[in-house]
Amino acid sequence: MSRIGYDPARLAALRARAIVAIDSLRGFASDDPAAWDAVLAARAAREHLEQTWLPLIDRIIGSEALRARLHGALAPSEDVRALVVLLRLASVLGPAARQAFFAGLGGAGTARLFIELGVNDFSGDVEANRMLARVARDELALATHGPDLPVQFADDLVGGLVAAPLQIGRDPTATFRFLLSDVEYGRDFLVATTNAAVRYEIAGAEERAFDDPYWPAGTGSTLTADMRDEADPINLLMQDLDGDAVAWRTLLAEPAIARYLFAERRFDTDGLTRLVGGAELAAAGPDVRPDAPAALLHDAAFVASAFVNHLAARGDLLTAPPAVSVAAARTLGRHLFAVHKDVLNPQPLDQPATLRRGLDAFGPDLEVEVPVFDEEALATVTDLAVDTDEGLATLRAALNEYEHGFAASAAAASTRAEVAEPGQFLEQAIGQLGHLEGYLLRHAGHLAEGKGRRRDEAVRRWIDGALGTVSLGVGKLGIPVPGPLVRPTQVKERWANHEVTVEEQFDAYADEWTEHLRYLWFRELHVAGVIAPDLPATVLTPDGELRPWPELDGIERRIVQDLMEENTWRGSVDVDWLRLSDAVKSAQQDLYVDWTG
Amino acid sequence: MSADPTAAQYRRRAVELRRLAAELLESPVLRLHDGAGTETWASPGADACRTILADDQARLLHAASELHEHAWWYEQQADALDAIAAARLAAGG
Repeated sequence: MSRIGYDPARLAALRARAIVAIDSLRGFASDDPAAWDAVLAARAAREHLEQTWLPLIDRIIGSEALRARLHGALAPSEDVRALVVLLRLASVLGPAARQAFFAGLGGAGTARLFIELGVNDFSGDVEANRMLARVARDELALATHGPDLPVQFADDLVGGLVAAPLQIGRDPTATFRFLLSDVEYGRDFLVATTNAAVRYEIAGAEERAFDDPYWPAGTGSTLTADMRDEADPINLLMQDLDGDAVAWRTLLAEPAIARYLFAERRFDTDGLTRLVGGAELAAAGPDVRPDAPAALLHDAAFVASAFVNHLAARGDLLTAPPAVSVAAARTLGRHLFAVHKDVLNPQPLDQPATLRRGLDAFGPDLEVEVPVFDEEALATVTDLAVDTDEGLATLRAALNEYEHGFAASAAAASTRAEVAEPGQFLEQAIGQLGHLEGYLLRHAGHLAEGKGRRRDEAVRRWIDGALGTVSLGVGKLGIPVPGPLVRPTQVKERWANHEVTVEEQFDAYADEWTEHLRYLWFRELHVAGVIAPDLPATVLTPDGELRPWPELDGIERRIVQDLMEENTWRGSVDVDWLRLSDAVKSAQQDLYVDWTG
Repeated sequence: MSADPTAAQYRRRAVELRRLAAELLESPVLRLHDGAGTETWASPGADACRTILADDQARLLHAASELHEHAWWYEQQADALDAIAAARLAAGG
């Protein structure tokens, strides 16, 4: 990467010496044919100095002179417009010249350029200034895609904007809005600008009242004539970050930024939706795969931890838009192993963090860096995740996939030579999985009546989600259709008068769910070779695996159920399925107690 | 002083070529790189300027060297012609 910079005094001296050299070479002449080559060499050197050196030196010195004037009293109609023309000339010379222009002008100088172009000066040519500002903004955007802007440029730009005095006709906030609209900046610049803007807000937190605007409005810039005055610069920045997972991850991996945005910063519905969408992308986006680079997985895990632990502190979660629920469900769903660990061993946590963790069921070799969740924060965000039908279905689908992998891993791990008691090993694994299922089931029903939904229907949907998608991936999950809405008072009345019925219903759900998990385990134990039931061909797929439960007809189910009983309860592997059922019933009991309380 | 007019002409041309070579070697362009480094300006454009200057300086130094060689050859020719003229003069005298 080339460094860009110059020393004005030295450059002026160099210019003078170049002119002396040119004069000297111009006087070099001879008629002697033996000197022709020397004369030609001297002429070429002179032309190079005249046509390459001097124009470049003059451009740099010229821009420096304008920059000096820019930092002093700037007259928008003259110097600033000349500066934009100069910028256009620089851009014609190529990307390096364009970047050199902005590097020379600096972030603060660039901020000032746009502020002055937007001065509400009725005696000036407003339309021409606006056109020039758009040209300059496009050039700035192009420059941010190159490598040579100084590291501090974005910081200085935001600093220049917020430091600019609010005078009549000058509006730094509106200028910022203009800069963030209708243009596509380079990722590094955008992240650095967002970072700088957020830090500006954090720095001013002490002086702001709780409902003060984050960005003071001036008298309006002529540059933002076609924009909403109230457009929030942070919201616009988040809009520009859009679907860039790397950018979001870079931004939110900074602890101070993440804490402020997730826990403290006020947002309207659109803003909060964008923030959680970005957080989901950073923590659980498509590039967060097991084979991703360790640094990426670390940052994703940190963002997930910050998202859960800080978001839970927000005071406006009860009125959060549905997209927040879905983003929470997807984030928890992607990090279910971490959720599982914290459900098994809940702990309070002061700060977001990551930790390398393993679980016996996954075998001794598995140790991955995962987010750590505060116990209360995890409960709050889980409630949030299952608070909408789509969030509920999303988390259910993620859990199905996790359960499948968990059962397969545990079945395989139980066959290791060092596992002395496979049955005991599997019982422990089943108990652990039952704990997670029970935890999520309890939260699935917890808030249902608060939204006017029938809690038993929410639980029913949770069970249906498990049965309906036992062999399907997350992407194939159909979102359950919500049942008819019942008012909370009606729900309360119905439940209060039908406690026995409700409990019986829960028992039925538990049995059904236990059966589902039993089948799940049965399949995986069969695949791993732990058990060898004599299965008829009709219940098997062409590659020898058990077909999904919903595909089996009544007779086939009965055959499989008999074999399950024979091979798990009475066979060589002594698995206590009652433990599974107990875990679910225990969770349901909590749910029932919560409600009656 | 040369006895042969051609030798005299060769010596004049040699003197001129050595003067041209000296002028080239004294030219400010050969010292322009002093003060034109990255402490003065640093950019892709400045890098290109420095490269062009270095090429030009190499060509000029080579040209100066060739001027000296030509001058030496002229002087050798002049010396030879003078020697022949002197021999003829001695034989005739």
